[in-house]
Amino acid sequence: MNIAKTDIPPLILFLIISFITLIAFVMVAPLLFSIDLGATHLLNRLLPPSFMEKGRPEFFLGTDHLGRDFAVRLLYATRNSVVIAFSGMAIATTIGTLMGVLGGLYRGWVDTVVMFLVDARLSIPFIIIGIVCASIFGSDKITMIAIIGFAGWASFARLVRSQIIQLKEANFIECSRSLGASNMRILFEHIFPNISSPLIVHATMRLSSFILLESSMSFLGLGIQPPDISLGIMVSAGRDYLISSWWLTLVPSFVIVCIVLQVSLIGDWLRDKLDPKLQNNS
Amino acid sequence: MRSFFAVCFIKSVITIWFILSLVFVFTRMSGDPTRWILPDDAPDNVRVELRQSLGLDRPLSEQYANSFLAIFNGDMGKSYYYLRPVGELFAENAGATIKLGMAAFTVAIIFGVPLGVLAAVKRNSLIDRLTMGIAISGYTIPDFVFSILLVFLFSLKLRLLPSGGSATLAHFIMPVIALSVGPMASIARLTRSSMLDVLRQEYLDCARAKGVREISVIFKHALRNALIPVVTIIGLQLGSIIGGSVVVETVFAWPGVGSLLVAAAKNRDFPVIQYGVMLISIAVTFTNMLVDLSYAFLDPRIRDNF
Repeated sequence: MNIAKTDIPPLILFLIISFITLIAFVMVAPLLFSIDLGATHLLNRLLPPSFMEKGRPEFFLGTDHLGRDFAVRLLYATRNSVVIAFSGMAIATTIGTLMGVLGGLYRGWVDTVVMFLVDARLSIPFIIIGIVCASIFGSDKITMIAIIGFAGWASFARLVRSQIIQLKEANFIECSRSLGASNMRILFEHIFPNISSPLIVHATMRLSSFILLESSMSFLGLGIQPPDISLGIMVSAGRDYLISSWWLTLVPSFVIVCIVLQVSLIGDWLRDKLDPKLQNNS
Repeated sequence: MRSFFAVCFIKSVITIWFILSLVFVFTRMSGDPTRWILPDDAPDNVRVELRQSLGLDRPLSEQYANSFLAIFNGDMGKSYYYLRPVGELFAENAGATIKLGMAAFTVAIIFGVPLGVLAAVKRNSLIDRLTMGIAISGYTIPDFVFSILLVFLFSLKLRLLPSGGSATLAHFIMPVIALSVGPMASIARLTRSSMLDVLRQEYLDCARAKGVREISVIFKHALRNALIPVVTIIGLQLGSIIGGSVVVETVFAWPGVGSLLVAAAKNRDFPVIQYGVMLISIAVTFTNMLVDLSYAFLDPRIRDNF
């Protein structure tokens, strides 16, 4: 089913537009508000947001415990978290698709190996893999992206493999094969166009768990390291000031929840739209 | 049935072997641990002594073999950071995590299944929407955010519950809630959709026509069949409880395996990490195996094939 032709409910439309706006805004934020993430201004520390008592107009969301502009840091942090999750998703999708194609197309021992790797990956919780990898390889931005890609590919592989196995039995592919089409031709002409929608749905649904993994790891101090910043680091740094300056923790937490909720609801809607089996069910 | 069990068992053993080997290779590849345990200007003889006491002077093949023997004798060597046997550290911390995990599991099942049933029976009602709202927030609010919200509300604002530690029953309340919300949400969602499938079937009308009371139609006739997929998802929640406990234990200063692992990862304390991964992979793999077996046991179509 073509997504463009379907009716989009107003709530979902709002979520999609607000998500795209948010992403666009945080991506250009460093151009608009250029700051040095490491610089501190201890005279301004822990100022409340501008709309609260004692707030100053130049600091919209106040300042953190080192006197840095909280709103601008929030934009930088959101940008880092989103970039890491999206890049990780791209890697996970690529590795997963490749493995799924290998398993589904060639079957036999290749398939056995692929499914074994999938099972092995799934027998360790997502965040434990993240923690182990971070302790071995360290955790800068690039490593975090690699960790997410490495930890997240398995479900993509399983999806692609099962789709391909189903499709291989389809009449139009049998037809194409009997006309002499090679495996590669069938893959690119018939299989990829047909598995793209479930793949997009799955990627959207997994994106929220990648954002959660990134923020949980940086919250634990095992994600990207200061002075670089992510939403999890902000939540963790604000915890010590929860009584006096609650916004330092609750605002970045709210941002995480908002992004994850947007992505999950869009993903749920896409799944229901693109999967006719589920349409009567929910 | 016996051959099905054997296949499952052999697969699980190979999976565990593979994971442990991978962790072994990667931790050994990351260099000499004395570099980050000792200061840069430490004399060579101290380094050699430390390597000896940690067992790092032995050949790699022997270290590799020892890391597997640890499954049976619990001897994974000494922690790089605490300089104490790893098995001892885990023995001290495992109790707290098991208590927390069991409590969270119980809460998730006790609330998840009835909520799912209620939502399915009263489909599209306020209760259904409320339950599904809770379920969605259960998997969109990260564990650490939820834990902090609980601390903010119940410890700092209302001053009802302690914010950390594990001494009394009151200490259990918030960590258990934080840890059980995610699994509860999954269980409720699946129970609901599985119940909806079953509720459509005609044999329920047949039962009603015979004069069976509605409550027993739902709980005796429908729920029994709806629970088959739910049993499997309950088993699979072990992974999310283990993953969640890492975060929740850190927030609530809970002296368990999760906080031990986080500290070990920060200190690059590889023996502790290896042992932790070993325990987790064994627990999760064998639970998955039991789930497969229970599925075969509960569903005669699969059972009869073996």
